[in-house]
Amino acid sequence: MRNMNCRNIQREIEEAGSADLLSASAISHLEACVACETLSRRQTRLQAIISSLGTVEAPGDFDFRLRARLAGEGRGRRRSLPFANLSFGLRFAAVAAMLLLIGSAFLLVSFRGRPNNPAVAGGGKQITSQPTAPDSPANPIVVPESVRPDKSQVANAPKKNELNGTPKRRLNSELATYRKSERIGTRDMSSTGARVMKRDDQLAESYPTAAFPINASYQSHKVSVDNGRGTSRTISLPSVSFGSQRTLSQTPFPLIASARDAW
Amino acid sequence: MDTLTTIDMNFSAALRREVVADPTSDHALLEATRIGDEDAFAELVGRYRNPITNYIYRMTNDYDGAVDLAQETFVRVYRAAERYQTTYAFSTYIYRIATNLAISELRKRKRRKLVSLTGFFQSRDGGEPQEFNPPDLKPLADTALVDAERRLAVQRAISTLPEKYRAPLILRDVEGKSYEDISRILETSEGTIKSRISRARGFLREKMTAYL
Repeated sequence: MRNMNCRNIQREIEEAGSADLLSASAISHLEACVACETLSRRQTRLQAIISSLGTVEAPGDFDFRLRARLAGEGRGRRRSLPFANLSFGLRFAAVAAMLLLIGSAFLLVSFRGRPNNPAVAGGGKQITSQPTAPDSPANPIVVPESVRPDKSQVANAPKKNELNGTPKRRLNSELATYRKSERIGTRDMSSTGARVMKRDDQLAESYPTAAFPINASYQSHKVSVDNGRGTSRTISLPSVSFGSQRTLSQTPFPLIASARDAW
Repeated sequence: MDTLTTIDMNFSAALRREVVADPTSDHALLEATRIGDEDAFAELVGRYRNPITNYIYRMTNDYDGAVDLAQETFVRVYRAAERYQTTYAFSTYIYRIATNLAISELRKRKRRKLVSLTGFFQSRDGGEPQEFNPPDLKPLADTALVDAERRLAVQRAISTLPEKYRAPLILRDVEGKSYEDISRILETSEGTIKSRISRARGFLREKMTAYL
């Protein structure tokens, strides 16, 4: 019990710092307890020594030096960069972000500066995509050299009746492959002449099976016949299906002729 | 919670009224500094330059460094005058800045190992390095010399205290601040402050055994 009381009193002595600030119960305890009294006495002397340390004063030119420092900092702050007050980590992040930005801009410029279509750079190899039917005479196709088959390929090409539109499909697939593998771009070629391949001559020569594609449509084929005297006659040939629905034999008049003039 | 908010608002309002009412208060001088009154700032410097220099000197035990840090304290006050809020007393605010600067300086010193002879007297078991502070066993000449020696010894003993004990002890026993002010300056609870001060006094008694 006594030890417990001493512990409380010693805590009070340490918190008070001086015997003058102790409570009445603590003072009465000190009269009976030598250990606590010794502690209180030593603490009071220590407090007296600390209090005797006195106050150190600032030097006489403190204000002058402070004004000079403030003026110097004001000038330095006006000259410094906007991010000069940032911490090291933030400054490092800002520099890294700037380098990243510069690198991205450099890559972007280099990609834009590069000729994006090797066909154009190679001299006239260009693919012009048309939204309408690619094989109509009104919309000529400019086929790239690399894609266009040579004579041997044409000679070995399957016949018209063997495979329906195989060369055309191959052409489309090759074009698709070409588009996937290469960067496709467009260039305004309106001012320069382009090689035009018409169905009637070149395409028919090189693509015999593609001249009149068997699966083109069910529209009738019209043939105009001139009799040599300025009179022409148009003959409409119905489309032929190799299925079972429409054949020439089922038609009562296989050749539907419409005379514009006397034949 | 509402009551606390109301009390805090009333306290802030009272402080603002004080600023308006007393043109010589610290807050009023800082308000004037904010709008460019250099004389008001000079008045503030005149009020606090000695206590702040003394406090930092007791913390660092280096007079020239203490003067530099005191100047840095006022520079920071001047720079942050526009952001200053009159929630607490100005003395709490400026002592907090000074404490942070002093602790930062002590940590810098520890990193740079500027304390001489520390390495020679490092404990053999790899523990914390001990300051070279041998007791002077020679008889002293007279009372004045004894007092001077005691002051020197206690100053050295304070400078060997860990910073978490040193700052509250100096604020309490040298600067005479209340526990409440110390807890605000150090942003620590009052109970922790009391405990640290008691521990610091215990350390000092052990170190000053020869002089007590």
